[in-house]
Amino acid sequence: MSAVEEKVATSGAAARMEPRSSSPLQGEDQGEGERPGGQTLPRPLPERERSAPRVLAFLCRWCSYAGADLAGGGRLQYPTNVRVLRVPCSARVDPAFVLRAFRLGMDGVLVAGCHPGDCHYSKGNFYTRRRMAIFKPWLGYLGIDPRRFRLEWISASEGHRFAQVIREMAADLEELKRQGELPARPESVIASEGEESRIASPSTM
Amino acid sequence: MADITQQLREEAKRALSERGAACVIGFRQGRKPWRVTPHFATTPEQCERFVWSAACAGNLATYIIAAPKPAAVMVKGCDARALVTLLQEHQVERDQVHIIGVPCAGMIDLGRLQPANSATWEAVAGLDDNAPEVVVTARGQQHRIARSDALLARCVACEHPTPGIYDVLVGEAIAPPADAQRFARVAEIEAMPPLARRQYWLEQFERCIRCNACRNVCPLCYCRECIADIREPRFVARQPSAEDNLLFQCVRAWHAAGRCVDCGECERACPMDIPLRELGRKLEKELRDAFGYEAGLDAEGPPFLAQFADSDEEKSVAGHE
Repeated sequence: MSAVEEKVATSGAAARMEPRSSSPLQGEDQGEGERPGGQTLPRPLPERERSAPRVLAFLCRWCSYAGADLAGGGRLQYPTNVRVLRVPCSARVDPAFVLRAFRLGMDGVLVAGCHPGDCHYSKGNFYTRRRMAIFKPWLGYLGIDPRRFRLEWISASEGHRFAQVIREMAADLEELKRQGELPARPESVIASEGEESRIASPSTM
Repeated sequence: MADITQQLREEAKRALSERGAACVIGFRQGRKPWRVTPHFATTPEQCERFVWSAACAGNLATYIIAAPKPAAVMVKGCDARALVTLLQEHQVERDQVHIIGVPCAGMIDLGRLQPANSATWEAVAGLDDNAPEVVVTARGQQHRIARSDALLARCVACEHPTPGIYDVLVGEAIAPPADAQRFARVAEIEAMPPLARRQYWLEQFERCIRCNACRNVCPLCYCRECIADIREPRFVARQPSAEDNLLFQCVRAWHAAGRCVDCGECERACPMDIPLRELGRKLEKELRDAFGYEAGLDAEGPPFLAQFADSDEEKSVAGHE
């Protein structure tokens, strides 16, 4: 158990929690509890989901986000290990964000935008295309496997493509994990002044 | 180089009196006879303090944004290319800077001179001329080193010894070398297996104390508020740790992509001997190999990442593994 879970389990709060009788998730579902500061604790995920590779997807609001939404609306099945950050345009993504995502413990990062020529802002994805052409090889130089970062053009009607891309990334990351090529996630990250980030700690998400 | 020193003093005075410069930026004698320090002259008398030697490794382009304009500045080949980047980005306008170019055969790495403890040095000869040897006198003994063995690594790899942009050139133009082997270290690092490579970077940046000397000395790091200093949202932890230090340095290297001219001052300023130049060399190589672009050469053109072309499609990494 993480230190956080231990605290919850041994504090008086744990005794007050109702155990869930039926749960679609395995094992350690403990419900929400209170920390001594009065803050609500996020519910710890079961082990299977906690250790699944995590993908952060930067999706442009006009095309790829809509495409992802279509995948959801169409009830297409794809792995759940993806978290979406909607941006107005793929050009909003400074590769520094990608570096930070890896620092915070993301296993994979996807940047998706409109197809070149179809950018809502006319030129945004042309800039994206150029900067990622230099950024991606450099990531390899830094020791980050190229399978962990993908640039994709996904239009608003390409729900199937979005699902397929996520499926491929999840499979690649599982493979990397099997090969022992995925670095361990950081124990904790100081994301704001003096406060430990809960983004990367094992018990959240 | 005593001759160069004299010419520079004259040129500085001319800049003030004839070119209407508000100040002239160069070097003057430092605390020790073998050290120099930046000097800002606003009167002819102050111009008499300018010196030039193989210790003038600093990049004076870093002062051009804050300097009173019009400003005259003494630049080597690398410094001039940094100025070009600043001109591209309109941080200074061409008619506001009077560029005094000084061709450079390489600057001496004081850290390579023996004995290592410079507190014992009494004199250093051979810096102010192109002598084949540099001789350190310490405790009555002479320590000799061939000039070619004492150059800064960045000077050994230099492809632009003569400034590409200037209003006046002081000294003879120097031809660039045939093959400067700029990317030998990149190849070595790429030969490491991926996880070993990651380990290598973490080991190097474990030493970083986040003193920001690299950022302060860099001519291109001119953001009034650095992304690494913003408190809300906090982008990278201030507390030194290998992972966060690496993030900071990678972001800095990335923000210099297509702009950095490898003047090497970051590495020279680093108190922890971190091989900072190695991070950016791969980016520089990609730029050349994929796009045939080199930073700091075209003052009229747009910055590399501020433009695009149809031909970018061939180099696109979209959809590939």
